[in-house]
Amino acid sequence: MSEESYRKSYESIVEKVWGIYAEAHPPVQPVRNPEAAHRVLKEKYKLLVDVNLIILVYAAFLDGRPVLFEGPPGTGKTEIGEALLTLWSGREAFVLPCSENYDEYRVIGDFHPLKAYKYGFNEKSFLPKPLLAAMIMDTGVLIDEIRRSNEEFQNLLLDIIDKRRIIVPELRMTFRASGVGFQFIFTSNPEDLAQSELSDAFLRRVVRIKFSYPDPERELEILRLRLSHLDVKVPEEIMSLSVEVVSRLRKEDLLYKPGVSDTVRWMEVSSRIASLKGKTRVDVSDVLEAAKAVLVKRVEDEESVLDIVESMIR
Amino acid sequence: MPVSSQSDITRRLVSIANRLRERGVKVGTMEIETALRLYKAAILLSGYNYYPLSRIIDAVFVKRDYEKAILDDVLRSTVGESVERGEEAPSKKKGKAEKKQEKSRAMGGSSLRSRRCLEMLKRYLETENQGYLDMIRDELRIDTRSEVKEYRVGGEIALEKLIARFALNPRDYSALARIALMEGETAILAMRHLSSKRKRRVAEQIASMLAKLSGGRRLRVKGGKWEKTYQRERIDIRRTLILKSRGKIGEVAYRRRRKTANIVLIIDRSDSMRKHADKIVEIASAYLNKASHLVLFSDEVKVTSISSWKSRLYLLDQILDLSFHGYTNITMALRQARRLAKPGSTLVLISDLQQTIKDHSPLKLIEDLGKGGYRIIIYTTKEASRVLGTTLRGDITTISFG
Ligand SMILES: Nc1ncnc2c1ncn2[C@@H]1O[C@H](COP(=O)(O)OP(=O)(O)OP(=O)(O)O)[C@@H](O)[C@H]1O
Ligand SMILES: [Mg+2]
Repeated sequence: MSEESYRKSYESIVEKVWGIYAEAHPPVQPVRNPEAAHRVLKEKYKLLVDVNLIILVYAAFLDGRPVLFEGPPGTGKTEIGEALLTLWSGREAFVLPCSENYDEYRVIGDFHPLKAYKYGFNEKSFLPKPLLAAMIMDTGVLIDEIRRSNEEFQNLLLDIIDKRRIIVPELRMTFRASGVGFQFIFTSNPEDLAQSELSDAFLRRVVRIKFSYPDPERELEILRLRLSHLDVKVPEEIMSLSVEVVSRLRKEDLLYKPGVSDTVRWMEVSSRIASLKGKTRVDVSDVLEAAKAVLVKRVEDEESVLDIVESMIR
Repeated sequence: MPVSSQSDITRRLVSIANRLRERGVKVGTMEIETALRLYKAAILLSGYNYYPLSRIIDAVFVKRDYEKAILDDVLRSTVGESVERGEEAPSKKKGKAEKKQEKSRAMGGSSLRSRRCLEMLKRYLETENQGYLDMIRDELRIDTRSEVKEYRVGGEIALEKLIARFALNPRDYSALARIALMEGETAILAMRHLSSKRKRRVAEQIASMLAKLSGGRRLRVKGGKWEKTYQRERIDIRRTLILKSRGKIGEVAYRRRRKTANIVLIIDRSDSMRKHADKIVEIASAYLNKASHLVLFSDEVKVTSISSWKSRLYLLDQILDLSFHGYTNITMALRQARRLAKPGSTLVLISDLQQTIKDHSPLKLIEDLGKGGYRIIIYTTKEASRVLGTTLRGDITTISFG
C-alpha cells in the first residue's frame, strides 16, 4: 500500500467512526479536577462519590492504567464508572456489557460480508466497532461485568490498553490513541460465583477499587439526592426505615442481597403506588406493597425477605 | 513531596510488599512502581498535598478479597511505623485533611493553586503527559470564575498567567523560559525541556539540509564526491556544525561507531548477604535505569543483559526475588564483569567482600580493574569499607551500608 492510499483509507475509517458514533457519544464539558467532579457527579448525575475515589481513578488515568470496580450489585459501579469516564474524557463514554463470546470482531471491527465479497477486505467493507471507535474518538470505555468475558478477550483488552494501539490485520493498519481520554474502567462482582475468576495477570495490571454498601447515613443521603424529583414525596422517617430494612437484609443469608439501587427503586415504586392511589405522601402501606415487587428477586428468598420487612415496618 | 519524602514512601511500600510476600501475597516490582506513581499523582490531584497511602496500597497490592485481610493484618502489625505518618486512626484522617483545607483557604487559595499548577507543569515536563496540561487548564479555568483573583499579589498573577499561556500552547517557549526564570526547581526541568526541543529543531534543520545536499548518499571524505552508501550512517550533528562554522559548508561528519561505556551491576547473593537484603534492593534500584548488565553471584555466576525497558522490569523482579544461598566467589564475578564491559565502564559491586572460595584475591583484581580504566563503586559493610579505604588505589569508591 502506498503512503498516499494508506492515508486515504485510514481517514475514511476515521470518518466512518465519527459518522456512526458521534451522535451517540456527544462531547460534554470535561472535568478533571476531582473536587469539581465530585460536585458535578452530585448535581448533574445524582451520584454521591467519595472524592478520594475520584482522585484514585484520575491518578490511574494519568498513569494510563485501567481501573477495576469490584463490589456487590447495586452499589453504583456501572453508573459511577460511566460518569467518571465521561467527565474525564469530555465525551459520553462507551459502555460494553460483557458477554461470553466477545472477540475482536465484535469490539474492534468486522467486515460486511457482501461488501467484503464485492470489494475485498478493505476500508469499504470494514465496520468499526466500539473499542476502535473509542480510541479514535479519544473517549473512555466501561467494560461492564468483565468476568462474563473469556480470558482471551481480557488479554486482548490488556494488550490494547498497554500499548494504546489497535492493529487490524486484514486492513494492514495500526490505529493509535491520540490523547489521554481513551481510558478503561472494568466492573466486576466477585461474589457472583456463576462467573469465572479473573486471572492473576489481569488483576496485576489494574488498579482495583473496592465498592461496598454505604453506611446508613450515606445511604440516606443518596436517597434524598435520588428522590428529590418525585412528585409524591417520601417522608424522612420512611426513608430511614427503608435504609434500616435493607441493611438488615444484607446481613441475612440470602441469595440476593439488596443494593443501594434497590433501596432507591423501592422508594421510587412506593411513591408511584402512592401517586396511583391519589395520595400526596408515601405511607407505610405503599412501602409494604412496593417491597414485594422490588425486594424479592429470588423465589427462594421470598419468605424470609417478606418476614423481615413486615416485622420491621408496622 | 510534603507528607514524607519519596524515598521514605518507597521504603514503606517495599517493606509492606515484603511482608505481604512473606505471607504468600504476590506483590511484584511493577506494583511497587505503580503504587508510587499513583501516590504521586493522587497527591497532586488532591490539592491538599495529602492522600492516604493505605488506599493506594489497597488498590494496587491487593488482588483478591482474602488478601485484604492479610494486608490489614500486616498494616496493623507494622509496629512503630504507621503507614500514614501521624495518621493512626482512620477516623482522624478527615480531620486532618479538613485542617489542610482550611489552611489553604486561609492562604487565600491562590498561592496554593499556583503551586499546584507549577507541580503539574513539572510533571508535564518530566513525562510529556498531555493529561497534566489538561489539568492545568481545568484548574485555571475554574480559577478565573472564582473570586480568588482579587486576593492575588503581583508575582502570583504573573506566574499563573504564564503557566496558562504555556498550557494553552505548549510551544510557547518564551512563557516556559520566563517561568523557568521565576522558579527554582522547575527551572532546571524547563531548561532541559527547552534545550531538547530547540536541539531537536536545529537537528531537523540540519538533517533536511543534509538530505538535500546528499540526495540520500553519503559524502566520501576522500576526493569529496558523493557516493551511494548501503550502511546507515549516523550523522554527527555537533561535529558537522563545527565544520560548518569553520566554513566547510559542504562537509559532513559521521558518528564513529563506538561501544558505549556501560554500568555493570554485580550483586553478591551468597548466604552471608541475606541480612543486607533491604540495602541491596535500595542500592540496586538506584542503578537499574542505567545498568547494562546484571551479574548475580554466589559460588556461581548468573548474567542478565538488559536491553529494553521490559527486561529492566524483569531485572528488578529478579532483584526483589533474590534468594540468598551458597558460598562466595567475588573474583569469578568480577572476571565475568570485565568480559561484559570495556574499560571506561563502571562496575558497581554490592558485596560484604567475604570471599569463601579459593581463587585469586578479589581485592587484587579490583585494584587491577581500577588501574585498567574501570570506574569501580563498591557498596559493602562498614568493617570491610574501613579496610578497603586504606588499601585500594585507582578510581575506586567505597560506600558502606548496614
Ligand atoms: N453512590 C451512589 N450515589 C447515587 N446513587 C447510587 C449510588 N450507589 C448506588 N446508587 C443507586 O444505584 C444505581 C446504580 O447502580 P449500578 O447499576 O450502577 O450498580 P452496579 O454496582 O453496577 O450494580 P450491578 O452489579 O447490578 O451492575 C443508581 O441508579 C442509584 O439508584
Ligand atoms: Mg453494573
